[in-house]
Amino acid sequence: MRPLTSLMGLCALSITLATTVASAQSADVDHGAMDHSGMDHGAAQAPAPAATDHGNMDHGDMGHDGATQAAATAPAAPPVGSLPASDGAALDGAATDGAAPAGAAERGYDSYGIHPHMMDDMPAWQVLFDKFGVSRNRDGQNALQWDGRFWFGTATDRLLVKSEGERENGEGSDGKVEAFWSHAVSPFWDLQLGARRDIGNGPKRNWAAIGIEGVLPYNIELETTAYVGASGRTALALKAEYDLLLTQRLIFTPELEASLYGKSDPARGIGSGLSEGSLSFRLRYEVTREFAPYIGVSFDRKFGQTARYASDAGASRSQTALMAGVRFWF
Amino acid sequence: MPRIGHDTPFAAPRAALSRRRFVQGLATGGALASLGAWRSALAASTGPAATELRGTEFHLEIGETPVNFTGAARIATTVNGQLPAPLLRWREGDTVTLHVTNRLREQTSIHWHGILLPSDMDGVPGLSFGGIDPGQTFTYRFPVRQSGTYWYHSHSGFQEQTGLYGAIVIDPHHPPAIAADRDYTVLLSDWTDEDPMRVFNKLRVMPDYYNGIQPSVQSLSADAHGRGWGPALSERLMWEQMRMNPTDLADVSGATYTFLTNGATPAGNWTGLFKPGERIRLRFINGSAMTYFDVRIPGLKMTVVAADGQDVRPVDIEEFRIGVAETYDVIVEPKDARAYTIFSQAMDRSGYARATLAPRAGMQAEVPQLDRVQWLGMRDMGMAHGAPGDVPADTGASGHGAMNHGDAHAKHPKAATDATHAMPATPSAQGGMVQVKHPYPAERGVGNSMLPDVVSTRLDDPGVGLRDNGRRVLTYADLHSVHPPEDNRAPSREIELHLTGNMERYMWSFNGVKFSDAKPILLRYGERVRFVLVNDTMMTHPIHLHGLWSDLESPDGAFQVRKHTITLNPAQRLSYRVSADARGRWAYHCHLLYHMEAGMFRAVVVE
Repeated sequence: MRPLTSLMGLCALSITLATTVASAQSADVDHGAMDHSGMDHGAAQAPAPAATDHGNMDHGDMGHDGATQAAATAPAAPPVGSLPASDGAALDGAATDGAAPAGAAERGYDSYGIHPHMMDDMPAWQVLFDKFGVSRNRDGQNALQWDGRFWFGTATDRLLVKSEGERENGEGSDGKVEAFWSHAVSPFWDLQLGARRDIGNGPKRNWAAIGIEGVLPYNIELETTAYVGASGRTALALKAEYDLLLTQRLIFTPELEASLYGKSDPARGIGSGLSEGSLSFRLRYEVTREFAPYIGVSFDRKFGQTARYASDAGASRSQTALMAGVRFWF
Repeated sequence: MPRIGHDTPFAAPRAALSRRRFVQGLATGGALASLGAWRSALAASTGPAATELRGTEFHLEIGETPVNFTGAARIATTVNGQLPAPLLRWREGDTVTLHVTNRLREQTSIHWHGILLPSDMDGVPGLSFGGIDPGQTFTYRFPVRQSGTYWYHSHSGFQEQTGLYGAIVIDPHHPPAIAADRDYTVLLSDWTDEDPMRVFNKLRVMPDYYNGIQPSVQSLSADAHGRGWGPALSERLMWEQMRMNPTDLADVSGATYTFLTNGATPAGNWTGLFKPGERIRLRFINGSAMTYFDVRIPGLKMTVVAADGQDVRPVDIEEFRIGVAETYDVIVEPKDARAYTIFSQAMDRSGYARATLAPRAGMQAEVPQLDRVQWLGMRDMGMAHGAPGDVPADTGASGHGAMNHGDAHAKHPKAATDATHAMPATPSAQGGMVQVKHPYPAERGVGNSMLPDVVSTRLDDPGVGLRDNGRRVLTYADLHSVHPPEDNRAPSREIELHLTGNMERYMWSFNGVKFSDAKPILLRYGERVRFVLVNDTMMTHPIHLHGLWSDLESPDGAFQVRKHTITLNPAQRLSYRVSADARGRWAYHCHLLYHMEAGMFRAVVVE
């Protein structure tokens, strides 16, 4: 019971984290918020070291606070700050559309007979296999590995289908297929609602899924998905990766994956709590952007009850594997 | 020190093709004559830029023509079988009639860029008219009320990328103040062998697809070699932390583009002839889909005499940046009987267009090396500490809040002399850094990933890549119209638009609202309005208002120069006045083709 409670807590935490990350987004990108202090600091105190270089600087001006300066330096203060109301402007003291024809701002293109053919709503799509190849572990077992996705949609709303897993030689397979509606909630983050189906050995579990996917500061790509299935099953999957360009074509990718479960599922060899973790390093060479062979190494480890299930089945708790394959998209 | 991209440029789509041939193009490349025969290399590259059509009545037939610029045969969209389209020579005061026939299998249109005309003659499908359907002829007719250098191009789909652009030269009523012995149009453009729709889709799937100068360990170590690991690493981390790319200088690069001068590849080397001592007027037009060019003619001083067709007070320079859709007329006076290279390098230094001025066909001058890539700096991000000279060491220090001013500025005393700390308290002719507010809710939405803190109002910043390069580079601060506008009233109201974008998703818009979700901007006929543009993004955008002049103001709010297309550097604030003196529906957009199609477009209605 305890693992379940803690896992539920973890799920909740992850979602909270997700939301926080997503909402913190606007603050993140808003330099006004982020670096403002730096700015004021600069304006107010910077002269000390910087001034030595400013031969022709007028120190008398430095005392102004930012707002005064902004007002003072605005080009010949405009008669009326009138902004397109249709964009929802809310500039302090600005009369929106003050001088525009009354009520006109509410009218759309149709009422002016405007029908240009723009492509800003045109959907795009992509099939991407981040991993498509083989692995060979220390025990000499070979497996086929894949991690791919397909999406179709606009910049903000997409149908997303993901699948990852591996098929071992003669040992069966393990994997999942997921489908989401992926909706942009901030410049760098998507909220994803959908479902997952487990494939491979054992019962085929179905799950409802909610996740976030996006880019963390420092360009770390993060996918977190929380799942709820039948019989009170819960799960959480985490994946983070970073593309380090060694050159324009040679790219090194550390990737960290973890999965957690709220409830043991012996039929699939899964124990509750942190069940599996994997750290991998891939090195790919982009022959073209679309086609990049890779080699890599992965360190996988099962934890807790999951590890015991594995031991009972004669498999090892941890495994090291070499991998090779192709990253490709079209 | 400029930033350096040491890596081999990424030539993604052309891996198999010899890099040299791809960049240089074929010497004999270009449009095949309509009869199907190759034009000879000499005929293709010497003399007038394109067939010149004069008079008051013109027949233009838009069709498909086989071309070969890189060794691969492709189909271009052409006018009368030519790429670039024929030079149209009009006379101020005439009424011109242009019969445009569509021989394509899709709709087409021609927009007369920078020309004052009734809005139903402006040629934007869905705004001015319904477009020209296959097999149809549309007749444009309008009085010519101006003179100077302009151009025309398709406003349908991606036809502008596939070759449908040409020069317009309008001779003034009275003989020009600046006489010249020779007069050449120099039309710069970017050609891709790829289907532009594929280019657009690649950008939407992988926005940095064509960027071959990205920060890498290789460039980091070169950087560290120059100034130590501390500053190099801290700057890199700062960019990583922000999830921004300091090398996002061009969305589409020489990885797919071959750059053309008057339809000739660098190897094709279009050549304009002169006799030593002659005055030559070069009418530069940037007819690219996506490429900013930095143009110079080593060995020759250039005197800029017109911008966007409008006479400006002559200014002597060595180099100028020409935004997409802008035009500049320059006078050169070569004294020696030698060849001179017209070198137009792409802003991201991924390639160049090249042409030659020479006393005899076949002569060549040295072609300069591409300049080193200069990274975007703090000022381009709208962070407070940006110094005008794009000071790399500066960026590392202030990016983290852990500011180390001594370290940041000590190495760059020159750049710091007019640094942003010296904020003027009153409007000044030079401008400075001002704080900006972001009044539009959608600016904080999905479609905009940057909100600059402070923006520059300076016109004397040549922009990233040209700062402190040791040459006399033209800036907007140098441009002063010879004649003030007839309507020089002070504006009665102000419309503020923020240029917004999210490179991660390839979204582009004004005020965070893309075209489809926006409503028209309304102007009342006869009013004089100030447009204030704030560039939230880290890219340079050419903003074009159809049908109405954009009278650029100096930072202190005085009229300075009349233009039809206005370039904004990253984190820059500019203002210009517009007289709503032509009724109708007008397009208003970023002239980077893929930005426009992605939604950086508004309709302006004058009623």
